[in-house]
Amino acid sequence: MKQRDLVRLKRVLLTDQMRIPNGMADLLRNDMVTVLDGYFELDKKSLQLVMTIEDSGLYRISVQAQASAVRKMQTI
Amino acid sequence: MARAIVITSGKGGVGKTTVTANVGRALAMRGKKTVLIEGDVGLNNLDVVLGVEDRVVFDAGEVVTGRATIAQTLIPVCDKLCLLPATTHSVEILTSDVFVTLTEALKKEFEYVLIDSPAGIEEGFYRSVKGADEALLVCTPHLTSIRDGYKAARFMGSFGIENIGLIVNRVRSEHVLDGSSFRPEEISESMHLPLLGVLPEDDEVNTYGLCELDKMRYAFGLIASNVDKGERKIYDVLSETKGIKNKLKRWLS
Ligand SMILES: Nc1ncnc2c1ncn2[C@@H]1O[C@H](COP(=O)(O)OP(=O)(O)OP(=O)(O)O)[C@@H](O)[C@H]1O
Ligand SMILES: [Mg+2]
Repeated sequence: MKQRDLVRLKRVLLTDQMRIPNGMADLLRNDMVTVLDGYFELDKKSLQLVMTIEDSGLYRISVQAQASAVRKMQTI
Repeated sequence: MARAIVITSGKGGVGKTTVTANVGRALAMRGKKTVLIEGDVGLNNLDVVLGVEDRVVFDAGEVVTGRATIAQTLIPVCDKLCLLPATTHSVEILTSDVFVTLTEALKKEFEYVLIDSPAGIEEGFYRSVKGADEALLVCTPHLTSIRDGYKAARFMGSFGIENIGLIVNRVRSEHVLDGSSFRPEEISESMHLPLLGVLPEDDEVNTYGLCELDKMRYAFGLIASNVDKGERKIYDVLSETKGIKNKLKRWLS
């Protein structure tokens, strides 16, 4: 088969797998904000969540965010 | 240890029932005691493909309700090959748990239990997959069939079925040669599934369920031997075009 068609086949299979349940990305994003905000003065809008899938079928999840300072850890 | 193998595809009409019947017979001819379970309970056709539809008296549902024993219900097809039929009447009774129980019972009597699954990835699919230890995934060299098959394979993975062999059906040598169709190896690589068999497109399959032509019997025999012995001998569709006569035909066309 022509290279173009093979690439199309692989893309179709990967995007099917990639499909993450509706709303899951938003939930995860909110959870990440809550977690990171516990440690940093987080710029909440800056948080970027990127999920990709590799040829092997593994998911790669990366989270990036900016913060202006580290929060003071409270001790008991 | 007996092996329960589900034959499935996601997409409909790609050859599950044909593969179940013919690979089942090929296993029986290798001397293995084999039983085929009709898993397409609503739209059963395995009886017709095997040519035993007139001999169906009881069905799997009646084994469950106690009206018949498994022995009374099993239909002998040929030496070492039996069918456990299921008909539309039993759709309600034959839950996935019941299927697991039936499969386990048959595994005590047979060496191979092949389950013909319905199309789709809904309840009927789940029913036929749940009792299986491994799977044969059938697809054709078409994008839609590969895509649906891949989904079915991933579902099976989530049910714990890891041993899934790929069978590419209806392969046409002329399309492989001119590059207008996916090659079985390309499909296997894209789906991350080991290639266990290739079956050529042949009109004979449409006419008879159980194939008698040498070519098809040979191709199904290779699959049975791969399943049985863990080999990887793949039918070469291009062999049909390799003879001198065929070469001449191609030069002249
Ligand atoms: N290799 C082949 N060459 C030609 N025709 C074929 C081949 N394999 C299957 N067919 C034909 O395709 C049709 C569908 O085959 P079959 O019933 O085995 O598919 P299926 O996957 O079981 O379908 P369903 O999803 O409806 O259960 C039948 O008419 C069959 O004869
Ligand atoms: Mg069928």
